[in-house]
Amino acid sequence: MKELVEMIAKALVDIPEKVQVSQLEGEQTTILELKVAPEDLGKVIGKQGRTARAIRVILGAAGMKLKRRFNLEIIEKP
Amino acid sequence: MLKEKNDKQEFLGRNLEDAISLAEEAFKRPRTQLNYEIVAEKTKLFGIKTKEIVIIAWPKDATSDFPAAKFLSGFLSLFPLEINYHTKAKDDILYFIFDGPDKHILLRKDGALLLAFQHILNKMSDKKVQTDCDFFRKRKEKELREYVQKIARHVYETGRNEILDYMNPYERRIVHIAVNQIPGMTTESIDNGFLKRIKIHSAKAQD
Repeated sequence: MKELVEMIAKALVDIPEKVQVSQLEGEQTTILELKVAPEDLGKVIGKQGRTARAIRVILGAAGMKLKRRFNLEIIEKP
Repeated sequence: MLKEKNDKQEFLGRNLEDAISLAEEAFKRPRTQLNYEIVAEKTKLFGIKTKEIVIIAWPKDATSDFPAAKFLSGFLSLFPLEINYHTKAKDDILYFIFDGPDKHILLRKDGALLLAFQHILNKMSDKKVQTDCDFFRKRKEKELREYVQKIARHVYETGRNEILDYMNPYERRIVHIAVNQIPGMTTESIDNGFLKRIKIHSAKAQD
């Protein structure tokens, strides 16, 4: 799922080389931490958080199929 | 040309260049608009050593070069849902029509996943993108139209205005058109932002 988030983020941002995704595995949940360049933060969040919500919906659907919960955390890269 | 498989055709040439030229001629398209796969390379020895090559060629989908189409094709190879799609471009809109064993997941929660794809694909496309599956849009438009016309008739009979739930611009457009078709009834968007509510009232009340 890490590759999936990375692929979406890289397609959305202006500086794809600064996209980083790390995956933290829990018992039932996987946390995906998405880091992008500060100037690209708005691109992955979107107006009123609509892009971030769309990515979470996509992860939710994948999780439904894989019977696992995926949480997306968007982190500003210092 | 050897044989035809749907849109795919086999071509036999002395070399790759020759086989592609035959494909260009058959499809009446330049090679940049064709996909091909090499099926076999044969070497014949009848006194003189000659080579033959067989390719399968087919026309590139005109929409496959769009960034959104390229992205989706790569994306779905990683996505765990079994869904596929076809594209069509019409009136400056690029349509992605989904299908496949897991298409029901696209339509859950009022098409949330379908609309999420649409949102993401629009972000990377210079053309407007619309997604659809199982006539979702047509069905949704019909349901919404019938629902608001029912409410508009109720407003007309009782004289009491109604305010609908928050809707996106696409839904609001359907509501405005549907209600304004009823004589004496009109609509008005209220609130600010992407999602707005619509007030249905009599045209007289507006004057």
